[in-house]
Order: sequence, then structure tokens, then C-alpha cells
Amino acid sequence: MTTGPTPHDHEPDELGADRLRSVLGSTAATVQPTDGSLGQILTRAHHRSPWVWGAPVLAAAAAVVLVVGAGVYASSRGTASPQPPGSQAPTSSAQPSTPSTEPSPSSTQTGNGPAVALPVYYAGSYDGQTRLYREFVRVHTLTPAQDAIRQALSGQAQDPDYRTLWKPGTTLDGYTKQGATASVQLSSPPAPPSTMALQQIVYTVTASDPTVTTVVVSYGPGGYGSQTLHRNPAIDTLALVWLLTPSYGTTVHSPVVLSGQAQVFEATVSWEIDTPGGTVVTTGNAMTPEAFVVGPWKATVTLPPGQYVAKAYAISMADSSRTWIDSKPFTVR
Amino acid sequence: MDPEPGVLGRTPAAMGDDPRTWTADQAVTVLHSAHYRSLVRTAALLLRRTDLAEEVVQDAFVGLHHRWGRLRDPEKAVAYLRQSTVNGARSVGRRAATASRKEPVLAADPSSVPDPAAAVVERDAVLRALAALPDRQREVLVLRYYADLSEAAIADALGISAGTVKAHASRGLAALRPTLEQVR
Repeated sequence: MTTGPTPHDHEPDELGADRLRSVLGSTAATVQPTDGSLGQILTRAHHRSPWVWGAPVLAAAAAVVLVVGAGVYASSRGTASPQPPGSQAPTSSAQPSTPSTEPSPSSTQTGNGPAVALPVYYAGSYDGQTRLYREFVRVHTLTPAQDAIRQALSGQAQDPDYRTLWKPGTTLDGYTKQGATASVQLSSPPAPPSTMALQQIVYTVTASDPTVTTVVVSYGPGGYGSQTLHRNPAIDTLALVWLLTPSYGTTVHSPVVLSGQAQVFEATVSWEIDTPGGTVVTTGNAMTPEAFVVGPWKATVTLPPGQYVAKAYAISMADSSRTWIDSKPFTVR
Repeated sequence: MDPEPGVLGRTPAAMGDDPRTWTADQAVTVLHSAHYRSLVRTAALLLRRTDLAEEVVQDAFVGLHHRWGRLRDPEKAVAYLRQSTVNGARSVGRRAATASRKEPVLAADPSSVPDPAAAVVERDAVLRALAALPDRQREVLVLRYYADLSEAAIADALGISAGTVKAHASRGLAALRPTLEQVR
């Protein structure tokens, strides 16, 4: 389609230009930049090597520059964070976290501001362990972090296996940001929130505003509880396998791109396509770049039209059983 | 994404209106929000690789961070980002092509067309034909027909004259035409 803006020069388009515009536009739309790119850029900008300014023989001078550089970094980024802000993948080669399709909306709010796909973290459990998953919510907003927190508190995920770790009715009572520190004031919980509940807020805030590295979460009357937090390491916090596309309940065309993120043994994610009745249609494996480090995985499968359930999971190191199964029903048109 | 609201997009409320007063962090933050995604997509089309596109654009933003003190002008900063993205894509593309025979990972979007199987093949053929063009022709076509830049802006991004832009656009399009005619 060629509904985009017209070129600035006023000559009529040459033959074929509309088609080229359509192919480029639709192809480009499949490219989704990673979360946390701003944080990675700022971290790199503040970590520039002193060597580029002088010969290595000037070791003392270089050391001074390095210390000054580190000071700038610390003051502008807040205190040390266990990993780059907003980043799920602490590897330096950034890859789109949702490589093939636009995040689909779970709700569309009307409001001012640009349309953004807000990253929101929810909890899910497997074998009694609770970890975080991420979905995108498309909204028009000028206050992405606040809207993302409200969505996280609500627990209204597209995937019904996900939930909030905050009691129903918990509200966002205040949000302020100063430098790289965001302060989040929540209404009273019945008991001190769990580490994972707090991380649900921390991951959501730092993903929706990558300039934030420190989150002060306070709760209860007069802020009786208040904790200054950073992202805990992904290995302790995120579910081991995420299936991101096809997203929950969507209709897609074949070939279907299965993709997600995982931090798994031998860097191997297993996937399976079932019928809604549970009959296995096909299975396969996909690799992440590195074992036990959050990284993207992707597989492509050709399927006839119909309804399916995609599953992605890790194989347990202990007993070779399937663990951390993330599943999404979808339709192939 | 919605059409970009001018060069700057939205400015965080805490920042002053005058870009000359912005720190490098603030300038990079504002320009990232307005331009990062479209630059990554531009680089992905130039490289036919999604994995390297972000690397190229992040390098451009890191470079901008270092230069902001001298630029202090969002228009110039955006021009710098474009130049840096195109140049970066070109050198990374060469390096990737000589280092490995890895297949490109950017393919046409199956959900963008009604009859996916055939149309995806046709659209992939266009992307392959585009990749086979001389660098300048490919760059001009992507900047014009994806990024919708004016001839003057393309000339600025590539460091060539507007007349040369026109010539590259017309030669490139002519070379792609047989493939484009197959696209439904």
C-alpha cells in the first residue's frame, strides 16, 4: 500500500515505484528494535575507551581519564545496575527481541501522545517456581512508564497463564522521575511484597523507560515500606523460555515464525506445534546464542490453515523432562 | 509506527525547549525516541540483515553522543545519524559478506499480503534484486522509497549531488522493474 507520505520532490512516481515502496514498507515493518537500546547506547557512550585519545604509553594520563569517565558514568546512570537498563539480553550484539512480527495489542486505549508498544512484565509459574514474562500493550500515551505499571498491576495479560503478583485493586498512587531514578508509589498491599512482585514493577519501569536504572518502590500509608531496587539478574528473575510469536490468539500466515527469548542449558530451546486437541503436528529445536544467557531464538514452520497451539520449552538438566513450557494458541489462515 | 512528529518527536517535560541547552544524554534520548526505529529499519533494508542493523545504528548514536557538543542542532544531528547509518551499513555489509556466506535474515513479511506463499517469493525476489544493485543505487532507493527523504536530504546523507541522486534512483528503479512487475 502506498498511503505513506509522498516524496518531497514533486515529480510523478516512476513506474514500479509504488510496488517498491510497498515491498520496502512491509518488509521494514517486520523489523522490531530491541528493548533497552537507549540504555545500551548511553552506557557505551559513557564507557568510551581512553585509548582513542592518546598513545597507550601515556598510562597515567589514561588512567585518570578512565577514572573521570567512570565518575561521569556513575553520576549519570545512578548506582551500578546488574545489567544494562532495559536489556533482557546482556550480549553486545543486539538483536530484535521480537524478530518477526509487530507485538499485537492486548488493548487499545485512546489518549494523547504517540502510539507505542509498551513492554509489560507479568508473572507465570512452573513447578512451583514463579518467574516473569513480558508482553507488549499498544497504547497512545505520553506517560509510558505509568501506563505500563498500571497494566502490570492489573494482570490483564493476553496470555491467561500470566498474572500479576500484586493483590487486586492495588493502584499506582504516584510516579516521579529524577535523573535515572524513578519513584513508584503504590497503594497498600496486605503484606510486604515479594521480591518477584517488586521485580515485576522494576522490570516494567526500566523496560518502558530505558533511561531509568534505579526504581524506588514505596507502598502503604505514608510509604511505610520503601525499597530502592535495580533489575535483579535475568537468570534469577525471568522465565527460562519465552514464546513471543505467534502472540496469544493471533491469526498468522504460513510459514509461521516461532520466536522468543530463552536462557537455557546447551542454548537449546525445543518447540512443538499441536492441534487444539493435543495431537503433535511437528516439533523442532532452536538455538540461542549462548547457554544460560538470555538470548533470542527463532524457527520457521510451514503449516496448512487451521488452529494450533505452539509450545516452547526447555529440557531439564536434572531429569530431561520438559520445563518452563510457554504455550500460545494461534490460527493459520 | 505513526508518522514522526517532526525531527524531534516529543520532548521530555523536564528538558528545556532550547536544544542548544541539552546535554548529550538528553539529545540522544530525544533523537532515539524519534528516529531509532526508522534508522534500524533503513539499515536492515540496506543490509538485508536484521542482526547487524541495530549494531550500525547504535554506533551512529554513540558517535552522535560524542559530537553533540559541537553540533547542538537537532537537524544536523539527524543528518549525521543518517550519514553514519548509511556508511556503517556499507562497511558492515562488506565485512559480513567477506567474513561469511551467511544467508541474509531479513525476508518479506508473510502477513503483509493476501496470498502469502506466492507473494512472499515475489517480494523476496525484489529484496534480492535490490541487494544485487550497486551500493549507491540501493542506498538512494531505500532512502527515497522507504525513508521518504527528499532528493536534497538523500544527497546530504550520501555526500553526493542532487542530480546524481536522481540518476541513481532512475537507474536503480529501471534495474528492479522486471522483478517489480512480478509483484502483485
